[in-house]
Amino acid sequence: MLRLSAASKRFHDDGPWVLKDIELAIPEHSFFCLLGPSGCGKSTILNMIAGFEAANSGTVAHRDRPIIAPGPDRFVIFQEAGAALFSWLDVRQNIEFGMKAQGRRRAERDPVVDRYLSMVGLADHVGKFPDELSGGMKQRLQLARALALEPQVLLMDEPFGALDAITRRRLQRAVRDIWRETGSTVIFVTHDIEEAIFLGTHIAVMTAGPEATIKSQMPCRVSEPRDPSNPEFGSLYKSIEELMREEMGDE
Amino acid sequence: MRTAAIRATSLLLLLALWETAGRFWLDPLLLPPPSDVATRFRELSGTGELWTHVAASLGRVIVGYAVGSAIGIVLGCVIGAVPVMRDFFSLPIRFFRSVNPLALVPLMILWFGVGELSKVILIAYLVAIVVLYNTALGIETIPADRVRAGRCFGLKGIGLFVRVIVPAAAPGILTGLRLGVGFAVLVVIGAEMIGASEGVGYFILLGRQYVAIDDIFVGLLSLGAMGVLLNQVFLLVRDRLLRRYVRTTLYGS
Amino acid sequence: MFPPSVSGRVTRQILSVVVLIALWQLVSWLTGDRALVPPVQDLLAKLLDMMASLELPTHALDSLRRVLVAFAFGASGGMILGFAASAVRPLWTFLEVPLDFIRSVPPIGFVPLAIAWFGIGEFSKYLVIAYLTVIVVAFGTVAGVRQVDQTRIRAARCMGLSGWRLFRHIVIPSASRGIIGSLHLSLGLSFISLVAVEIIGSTSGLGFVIMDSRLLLQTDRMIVSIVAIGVLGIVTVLVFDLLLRLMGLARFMR
Repeated sequence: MLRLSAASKRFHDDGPWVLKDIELAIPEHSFFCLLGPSGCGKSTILNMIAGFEAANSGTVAHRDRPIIAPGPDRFVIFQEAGAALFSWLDVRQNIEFGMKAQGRRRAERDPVVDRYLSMVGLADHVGKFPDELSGGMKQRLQLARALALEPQVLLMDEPFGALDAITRRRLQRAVRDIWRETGSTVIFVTHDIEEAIFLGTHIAVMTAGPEATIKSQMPCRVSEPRDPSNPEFGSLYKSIEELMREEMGDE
Repeated sequence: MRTAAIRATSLLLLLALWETAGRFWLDPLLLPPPSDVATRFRELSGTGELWTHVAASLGRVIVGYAVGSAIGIVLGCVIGAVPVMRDFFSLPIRFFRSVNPLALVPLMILWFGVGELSKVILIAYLVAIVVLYNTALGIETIPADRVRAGRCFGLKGIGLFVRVIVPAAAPGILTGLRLGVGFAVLVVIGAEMIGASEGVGYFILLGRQYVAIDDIFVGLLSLGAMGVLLNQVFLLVRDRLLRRYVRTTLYGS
Repeated sequence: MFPPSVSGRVTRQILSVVVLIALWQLVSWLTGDRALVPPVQDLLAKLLDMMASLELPTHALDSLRRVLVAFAFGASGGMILGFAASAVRPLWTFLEVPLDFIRSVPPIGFVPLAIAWFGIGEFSKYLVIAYLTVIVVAFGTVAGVRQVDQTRIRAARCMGLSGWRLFRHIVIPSASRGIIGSLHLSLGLSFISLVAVEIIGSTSGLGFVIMDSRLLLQTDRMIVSIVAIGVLGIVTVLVFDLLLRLMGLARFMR
């Protein structure tokens, strides 16, 4: 269980509260989608869980241990893959990097690298450098790099925001398959309702900032296929859209 | 604020260190302490001697720079905009750009004498080459869609050139103009050391002949101040008057 | 503008060389003074002459040695200073303004001071050529380190890297692009400083040959040396780039 209790955050000592009294309980092995209008502080919550930023008050804890620094048990998939990947390392070296840093031997590393290379479908591109990959492939590489460390929690910050619709759908499927296969907890930040319903087991909707907080939390138990042809999908979509519209105002 | 405080302290500390070193550890004739340099500066500026030299150098730089940048911008526009010219001039420009600027000083003096002409020609030539190259490059690298957008407004020929192409190439032109300032100051000092009877370069070399190191320091400090001043004027003009031309919408933040 | 038969980039580039040479010959003929504006055949003859007498190679080697020695020391010093100043922020705040001021003084200005302090020997020459490299590379290193993408640092921290390992495996490679850029720039600048020290107080090197030809009014010898030092500069920078590539450093330019 990953838990935030009464977590609040502001960036300057007497500045406005960006987040106020965030209460979240994220069960193990769930696919938890954090949905909210842009600028509401979704990424800040993710950064607190990752350990990049500390809450000013309240607690953030993973398996009852407070989070004070980043660590390989929680890995972030950043939106800007180009910036996050190591441009001087090729595909294979990027995936290997984390395990090397942990001091794991080559014999131990190789099968893991191969496994995740094929899981994300990059086996044919091992020798390429990040700047030779398309946007979708860069995100796959980031995913493989994270998975190779077999983190308990994967944090994804609008990872598909910059991709075209088809690539996006493909990667969403891939992420869902990988999540089922690995059993890690995924926390997925997005502003796209459809994406959240397609992927999630749980959905939390945030209020608009400042002083943003969790507006509503619900399980997402839509049966397959999760697409607009399914009436369950439609009704959940409508109710979330209603919640979001209250927050967006006239926009 | 904190940075400014550290910087101010650092400068004071540096001056204090220099003063102590010059006065107590080393020969003050070899490393004149700042107070001696300041006294010498007052003497030299009091008699007007220093200003004669600074004015001579600045005058050469300004005239040469004005002529050179005008030629450079015009030629650069033509070469950048006409593909045939671009091909034709690419090798000559590469050759002239690779010629060492200081190596040309003796040649210019040999050809045009030790007077003002050789210095102004040399400065103008060097500024023209660097401005021309960067202007042409600026025009070549304008995104095609920006020119197409201009054509959608019905612009063509000279109108398109003046209202879209030149403003779009402004960052390149400004890069060339800024590099030109550095070349102009460099080469004027070189020319004044080799053949002149006034100017900051001449003054510094004179200081060496008389082993008057305080004079050399006064000369170097005015030289640095000249460089900083010209650069600041350039930045002021660019950021106040030409601000809009250096904004980029291409790459986001 | 050109006859229709003349087309294609290469043709135009060759044509430009031909036109340039023809123009030079015309000027030479118009001035009517072969000694002042020597025609191309005279320059080529002088070149062969200077090669045969070993004058050109000897002085070129002196010049090259000065640049390479000074650059090696300057570049290492600049990187050490830059990394040290990146690690200890106040150090850089302390150094930035004075270094920036020194950088804005053209290197030729320091030649008389260096000679007055250290004599006309090789040491003062190395010093004048090297100091600018130190400053340029230090600025490049600090800027390179400062520009390392925060996202990348965070990604590495997710993997458990911190402290020295973060610096060694992420910061240095990410900053390499800026550092290599500044090395490239300062190598080019070294040749300007080289000529500065050689035309003011030297008895060897191509800059000396240029000054010596001026006193003896040998324009052909002077022009050959001017072109030679330009070529030396280009070739050195090209070889430097090639070496970086061979050392496998090209990947850091991505």
